Amino acid sequence: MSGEIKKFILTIGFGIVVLCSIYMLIIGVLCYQVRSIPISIPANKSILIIGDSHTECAINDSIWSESINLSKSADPFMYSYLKLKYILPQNTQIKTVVLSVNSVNISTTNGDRFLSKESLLTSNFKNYIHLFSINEWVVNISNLKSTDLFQIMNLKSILSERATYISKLGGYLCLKRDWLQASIGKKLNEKETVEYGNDNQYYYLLKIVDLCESIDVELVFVGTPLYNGADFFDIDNYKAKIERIKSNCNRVRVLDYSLLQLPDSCYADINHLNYRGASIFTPILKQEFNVNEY
Amino acid sequence: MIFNSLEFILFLPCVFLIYWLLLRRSLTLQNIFIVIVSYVFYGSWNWRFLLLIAFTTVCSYLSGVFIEKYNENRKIQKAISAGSIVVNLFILGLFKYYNFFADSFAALFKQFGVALDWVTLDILLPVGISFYTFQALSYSIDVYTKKIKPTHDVVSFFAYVSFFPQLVAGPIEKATHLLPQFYKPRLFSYQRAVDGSRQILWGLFKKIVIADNCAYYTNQIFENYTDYDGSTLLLGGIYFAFQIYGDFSGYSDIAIGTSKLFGIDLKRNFDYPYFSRDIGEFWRRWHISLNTWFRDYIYIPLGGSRVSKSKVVRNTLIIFLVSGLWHGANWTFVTWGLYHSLLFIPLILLGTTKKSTDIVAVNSTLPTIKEFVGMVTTFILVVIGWVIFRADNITQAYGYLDGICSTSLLSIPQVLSYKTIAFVISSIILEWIARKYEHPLQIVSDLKYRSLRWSVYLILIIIMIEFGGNPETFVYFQF
Repeated sequence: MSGEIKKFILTIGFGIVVLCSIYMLIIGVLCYQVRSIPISIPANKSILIIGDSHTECAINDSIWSESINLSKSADPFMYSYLKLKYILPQNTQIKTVVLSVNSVNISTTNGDRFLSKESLLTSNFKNYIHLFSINEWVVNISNLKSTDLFQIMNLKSILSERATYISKLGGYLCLKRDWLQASIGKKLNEKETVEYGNDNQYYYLLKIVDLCESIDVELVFVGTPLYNGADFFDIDNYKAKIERIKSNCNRVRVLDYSLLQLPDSCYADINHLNYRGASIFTPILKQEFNVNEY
Repeated sequence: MIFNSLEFILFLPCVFLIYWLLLRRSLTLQNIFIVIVSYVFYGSWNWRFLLLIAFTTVCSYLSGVFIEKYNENRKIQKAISAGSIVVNLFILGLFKYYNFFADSFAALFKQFGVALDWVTLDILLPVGISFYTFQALSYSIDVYTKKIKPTHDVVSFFAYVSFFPQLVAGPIEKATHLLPQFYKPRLFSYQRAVDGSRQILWGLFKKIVIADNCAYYTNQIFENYTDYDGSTLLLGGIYFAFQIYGDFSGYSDIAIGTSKLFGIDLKRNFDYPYFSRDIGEFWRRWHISLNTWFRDYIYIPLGGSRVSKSKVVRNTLIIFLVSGLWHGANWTFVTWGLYHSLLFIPLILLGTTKKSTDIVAVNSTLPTIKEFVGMVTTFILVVIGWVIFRADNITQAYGYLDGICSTSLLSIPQVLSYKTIAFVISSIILEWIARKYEHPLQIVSDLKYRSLRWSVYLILIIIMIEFGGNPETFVYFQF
């Protein structure tokens, strides 16, 4: 290697090392700061609801005083696990975790989409970066798209919003839209085939089961009502898969309301309940918990 | 694979290391490698495009071979050269202009009640076709006019047409300048590589911080132009002026800087055009490689400025119309060309086309009032042209300009982004200070302390990462 080339490579290498060091330092400080924000859930909340948009829209925690809903649209089990790992040790009053497990989020296609969709990846990366262990870094980096690079490295949002961090973890979403007919049209002739082959989803679902068992927290899988579930979703296949998981995890309970019939006016679309649906479904779920003393 | 993508950030160092560490002892291997990586680079858009560029390259190469073969017969040479030009222009016309003329033709007949919908085809426009076709044409013409000897080095010729840094958006190189560089062994120069890296950095800054941020507001204002008052529409035009400048000159800087890393010099494409004192000066500073191409291959063969004034006016009109059409198959581009010709022709009639050839305020920090007024006036005229250029159609361009010319022009703009405006003003100040240099970061090399120089680079990178706009593709890729 000639001296000039060597000098140039060393110069550029030096610049890259300095830049990476600065960014690693900034990321480290930010992660430390965000991690040190206590996630303090009120003492009267003993039920933590977590998962994707199904529970996010279907369970209104303001009318179920013992519960807190921290579900978030399109959250794969990986992020639910990270949230639980972060929240549960700080909030020992939580005795039950309600996890959204439905025929959509355990399917192969959706599991992949939740992890790799560009816009989700970018926002989730920033929201959960401080919770990542090596495995989560590997999963996220393998899904990175080229144009994400600058978006991912942009840390402004963590800097500016870290004070209100808990709001970014999720919450009840009051849906008022009416996309039912449109979503029926889209779904018609397109029956969901549940293939439980998504390694990441499966891996993190089992980690959630292990985590809850290790700290003696009850874990309940909840499937929220789907519009004409029997027609539009492969419920039998979904149930069979869930039963298979349950058989390996004795303490997991399954509450499947996929086939619960509610009036059309309760649905925002075929997958999600709207605010009317949530106001009917939440008391039903609450009643189930009260009767069976979870 | 665009310059501001992760793929390119990984691609470039790999290519650089192989080129200089493994292949530097063999010129042929270096050239073969350039061809391979250029085809990989171009094929990353669509592998089918490779067939087209390969065909264009082979046609132009063969035209040179046959022109040399019939050295004694000028008529045959002329026919070969013309054949190569026709083939290249036919390909360009088919892919770029067929639908434009077919649509216009069909619309014209529709007015007489004749439906000709069948004449349009669904043709995909290959990225950068206008750039490499013009480069290939330059070779055929230069060989015919004996400005360059026909090459027998097919690898060098493929490298000349497909050289990846400037393949999709220029600068358009002439064979007389670029091709001979592939014949000679290239020596690595630390100073040149460092300068190239600085130029890449400045180009990325212009693209990511200036152009991409301006693009957001430009799109918002142009898409809803009927909702905004005159001042906002004017600001939208100004945003677009800086978007297209940051985008295109940024691309050129990255291309020129990247070429320097490989020991290849490309011609300068932008020379601070918004500091021009009249339209004549603007056109000597904006997209220089295309304008010199038109000058050398169309304007001068038509007689240039050594003919009667009426013919000079005709030649100028032709150049601007062709330039407009080169940008795309849309009447807005043709109108934009016509608009600039109307601004340029008075300078011809007054004999002042080359009044301002030196660097503005060359011996002072600030311009004189006359220079300042000249620069502002020229910029406003250019912005009006950019509105026509950016509009989707003539009706929108008219509506937009009509909206600007209203009493609400004096109101406070509805869409103000202080961050974007601050970046634009900062870049103007930097470019003003550096107007004697090829690019502003050359000033940094004068800084005595290394730590100071590196601080500037790191600040620029951090600004790019933290304040860059949503990634947009380069505007000139579509041309």
